[in-house]
Amino acid sequence: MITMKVRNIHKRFGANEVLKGIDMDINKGEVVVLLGPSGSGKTTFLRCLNFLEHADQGKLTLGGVETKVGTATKKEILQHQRKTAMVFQNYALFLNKTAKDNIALPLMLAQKQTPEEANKIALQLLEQVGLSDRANFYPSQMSGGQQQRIGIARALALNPEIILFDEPTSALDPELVGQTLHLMQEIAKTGATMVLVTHEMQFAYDVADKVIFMENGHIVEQGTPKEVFEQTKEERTKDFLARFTSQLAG
Amino acid sequence: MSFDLNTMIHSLQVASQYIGTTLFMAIISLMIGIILGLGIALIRLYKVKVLSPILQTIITLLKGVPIVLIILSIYLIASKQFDVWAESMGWSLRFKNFQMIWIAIVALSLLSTINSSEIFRGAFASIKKGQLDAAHSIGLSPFQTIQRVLLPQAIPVSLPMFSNLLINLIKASALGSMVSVVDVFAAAKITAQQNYRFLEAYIAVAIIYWALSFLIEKGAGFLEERMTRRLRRSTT
Repeated sequence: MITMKVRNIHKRFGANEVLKGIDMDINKGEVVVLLGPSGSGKTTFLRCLNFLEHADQGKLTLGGVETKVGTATKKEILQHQRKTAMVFQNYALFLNKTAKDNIALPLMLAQKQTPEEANKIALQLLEQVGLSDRANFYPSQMSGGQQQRIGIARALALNPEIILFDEPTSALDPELVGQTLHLMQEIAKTGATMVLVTHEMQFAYDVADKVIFMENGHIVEQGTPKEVFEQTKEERTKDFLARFTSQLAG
Repeated sequence: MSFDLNTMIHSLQVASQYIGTTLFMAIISLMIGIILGLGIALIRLYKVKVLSPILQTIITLLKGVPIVLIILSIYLIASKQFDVWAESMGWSLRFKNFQMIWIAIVALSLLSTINSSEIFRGAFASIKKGQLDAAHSIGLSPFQTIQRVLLPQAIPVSLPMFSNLLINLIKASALGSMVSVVDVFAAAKITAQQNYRFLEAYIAVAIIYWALSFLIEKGAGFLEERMTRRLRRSTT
């Protein structure tokens, strides 16, 4: 079953066309990893999927509702955003809220749940990400790894149709990357639909159902991790992967 | 030139009875300024079409005009034109029944609106883009974003600037005496006119303004300490 259908997404910043017509189908429960050199448009593409970046043209269909990007109204965008969630490179927790409130806030505001319900769900999620003891801490009082796990919990709380991860481990200290990747792997096992931009090749190899290699605003190659990593068809993909072979071997 | 301490103390006593008037002018215009300034800053933040560039131009123009000129101009325009307007609108209010303090408050509010809008704009700019992205990504409406994310983070940052603004408004309110408002400054001058001891009166007034400013700064510092404690060391 297709959760999200992406058709012909174009985006330009001034004279620079960053996305040159991207098509993609994301199936329910699928983990999709976007790879590519910096400047290939993968983060912009991810941000276009929930209107953080407004694409210039194309169509996004999420949960059966089609939104034409060019003519989308504010209401349509809000409806679309409420079915998605995002985990950010810099965590982007609300600095004026405690860990628990960061998770409970979207439940109360975007989904109109009562404070009691929202708090209950928040506490459950804190336990799931192993941070029950940090419920009343502010972001400034937590490590990067802890903040990112709260960020993931906030995304999970909304029970979205799709979760977008924008380089979730890039800002973390190396020793904290493992725990965050482990948590993401656990989430993948629960059948969540996930789209990730990451440079963690091993993670992509182990967890992804589909790997997509992007360059210069185009999809160059896509397939299962085995197809893309081991039976690479395109030269450009080979060049890119060659730089990471040491990481994969290890 | 002699200095008479008793005269100064007398001036101090008389002038301090008008602290209320001075504070009233400053605080009312601060509040008007905060409300309008916040509106302007939000319009500029969200780049509302037409309104945003118009307000930007008006602010740039008014920022470069001394407050004295604004007070006197408002007084002139009001004294010449108000009755004409009131008549055409069918109001019974006339310029001569007008309390002059409101002329001063209108002028001070203008000053305070311009400054507040710039303070808020700076405070909004200090909030990292990630905070707004996060609010969008979880589907908060613009109003919810302003109420729950933007303002709670912008207010602690802007507090020291607002305490400065209040101090500036208190000092600028002395110009109210130019349109015959009796405030701290005017009251002290009136006492001095009886015995021509102006220096004593001026020093008395200086002490009052200084004391008010000192208290406001201390109070704001205390508030700021409490509000920013948890936001400190922020990384995103």
